[in-house]
Amino acid sequence: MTSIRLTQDVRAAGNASRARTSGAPGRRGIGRAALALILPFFVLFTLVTILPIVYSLYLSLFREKQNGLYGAGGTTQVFVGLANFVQVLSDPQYVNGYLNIVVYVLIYVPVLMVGAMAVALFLDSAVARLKRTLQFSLFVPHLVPGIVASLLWLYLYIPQISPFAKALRSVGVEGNILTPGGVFPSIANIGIWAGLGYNMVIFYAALQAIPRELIEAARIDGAGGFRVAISVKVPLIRGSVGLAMLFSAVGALQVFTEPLILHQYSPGLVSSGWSPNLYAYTQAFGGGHNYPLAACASLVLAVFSALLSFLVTRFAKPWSSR
Amino acid sequence: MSNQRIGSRARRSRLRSWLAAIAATSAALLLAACSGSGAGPTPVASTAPSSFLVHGKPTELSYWSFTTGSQQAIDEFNKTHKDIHVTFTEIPAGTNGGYTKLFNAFKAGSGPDVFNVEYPFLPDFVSQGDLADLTRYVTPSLKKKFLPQSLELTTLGGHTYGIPYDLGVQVLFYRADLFDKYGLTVPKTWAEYKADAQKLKAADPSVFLSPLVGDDGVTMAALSWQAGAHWFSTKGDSWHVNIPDAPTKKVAGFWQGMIDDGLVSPTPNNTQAVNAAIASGNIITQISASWNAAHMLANFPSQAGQWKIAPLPSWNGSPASGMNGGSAWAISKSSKSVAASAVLATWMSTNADGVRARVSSGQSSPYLSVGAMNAIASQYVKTDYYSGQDIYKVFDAQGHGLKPWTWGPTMTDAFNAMNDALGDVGKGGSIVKGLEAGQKATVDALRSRGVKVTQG
Repeated sequence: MTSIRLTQDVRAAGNASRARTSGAPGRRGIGRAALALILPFFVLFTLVTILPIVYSLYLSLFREKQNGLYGAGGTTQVFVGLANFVQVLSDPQYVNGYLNIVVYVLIYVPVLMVGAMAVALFLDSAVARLKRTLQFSLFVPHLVPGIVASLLWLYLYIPQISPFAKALRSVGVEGNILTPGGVFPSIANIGIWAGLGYNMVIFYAALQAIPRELIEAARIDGAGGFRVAISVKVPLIRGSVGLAMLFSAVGALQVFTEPLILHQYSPGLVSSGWSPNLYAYTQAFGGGHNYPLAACASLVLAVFSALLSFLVTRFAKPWSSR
Repeated sequence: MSNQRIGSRARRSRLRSWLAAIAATSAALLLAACSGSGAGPTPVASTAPSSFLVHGKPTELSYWSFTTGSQQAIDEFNKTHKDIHVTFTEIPAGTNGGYTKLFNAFKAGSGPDVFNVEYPFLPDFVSQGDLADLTRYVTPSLKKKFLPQSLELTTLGGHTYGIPYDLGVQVLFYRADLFDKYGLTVPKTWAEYKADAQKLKAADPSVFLSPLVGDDGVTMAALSWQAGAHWFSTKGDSWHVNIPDAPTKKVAGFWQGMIDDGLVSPTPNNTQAVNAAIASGNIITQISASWNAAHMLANFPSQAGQWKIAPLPSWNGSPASGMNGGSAWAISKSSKSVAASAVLATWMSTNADGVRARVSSGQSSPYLSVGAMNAIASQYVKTDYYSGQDIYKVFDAQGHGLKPWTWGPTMTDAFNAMNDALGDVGKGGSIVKGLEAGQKATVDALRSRGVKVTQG
């Protein structure tokens, strides 16, 4: 996600500098400055993205064979071509991981977008008081590391120890979200809790940039606060919404921490391959010792992520141009 | 198993002169043993150095562990050894991330010299080519100190890869006070256990003997082991894998029946929810192992005097046990000094002061594979918690009832697959189906690694 954001920033910066420098006398000097500015990015990008992908591609073509019952005779790497890709794509657990993601995205993205937009509009409207406090308290969850957030929420989910469940029980309601039907909401909820403030800040900043005279004009034309929000403000910040949706959807494809923590609590509820990322993790580090298979699973996921980014950017074109 | 906690409070009992003498004696014994005819294929008596000082400096070793009291044991070791210096690093309990950390470290070439590994996962490390063959260090005189079944678990294909430390013999923890209240008798057989469960249900439908039990692969393995199952065996250069064998199906059928009859709590095994239910008195027995005796004090301090320990119910009424938990010391193949590491590992399991330093907190796993060391460990177990019961009598009976067993070489993978598939147990799912998933995962993993496998 970060790399995508960086790429776009770089592209934008590149466009800007090209536009500004065309025909200018100091062109070469500025070009060199631009190169110096973007070089660190490309060095890091090569080291932490391109090289690992190349190495994964190499890994994915081999299988480790062991000699003897316990491999005491050592192991050898055998070239197997695309056999690992065939294995990963025919593993029902891996394929099912994508279906889980689809359901997850359908819950997570709309709720996140609508929620963040609603709060941003509320903050932007004149009625809101304590703007700073509200903004800050909604943004704080974004600063909490994902693993901590997941543990926190797990504690609140477990019916026997959750203070929520205790409160509900005191009024005679027996609640338990850690059931097969509650898995998607409970995972999406953690992501929404963490992401709402972040997206709200993006939307709020965009809303603040709307020329005030447009809103005044709408008011003079007789539009109420709600009408202004829906018909004027939201369409004007559709660029930010498109971008936020892209980031959220791609982020959702890589969901990992929340299912990992819930898996550790109850492997039956959330399996060791619940999401494609968790599948790859389990294969490599969770006891599978199958690095080639993990490489395949990751590469397929990378292709899907790229594809999804492309489609969403394409689809969101009218939204992203303001 | 994930209950193997790390605590670090301990008083150190120091009997300096005595201790130095013991250390010197044990070192001398070890050297003497090394110079004898080893049991292993390659006795290397002549190559064992008389001191591990290198250019006047001690050999540096790293030791990673999640066992309670490790720091105290290492302090003691460093104090009594001038030629070896050990640095201890605490890691999370194995199945909670400790093994992942170790596997990754070995993959990256930065693993520790010595670490502890629970018996089911030792073959995993061997198969990954991470472990040094310790056969040459396990001399006959050392060998006879250990409970034979524990060394069998660390000896794979005739080569020993681990020095056993503690055992996880299976026992039943029960709330003696509530057994009295509900008029239950301590069950000797599984049939009696079920009868108790029925009686309890009739008396109070909100109180249960146990959580689901059947939704957890590790527990099912131990219970099947107790029932005489053999999930893994070897024939020549091929593995024979038969996870859903007849005794296992008997065990699975029993727990499936308990679920179907509503005789177990719907709480998933090994979760914080179970601890909460135990704390509130809604679950009143624990199908666990010896190490849990130390953790009960920390987990349920307010229930002191209410718990007792009995042999795990068996199928025919005579003591029988599998193992659930317990671990051995393993040594990295890429250790700077396997010989020095072996001195450390042997010392931690067989040296009285080493064991004393580790167990003196009273929170350490109490039942050890070197029988003589239990005399020390038993001094520090807070038996007040069990109303002064002689719990070692129970442990010993179970230890002698330990059945033979071989762990497969891909248990982390197998347990993952099993637990994924056992998830719907208690919600209409089948225990046998979950075990079959473990069978399939094992067979697939072995075949993909080019190993011969037979089934059924």
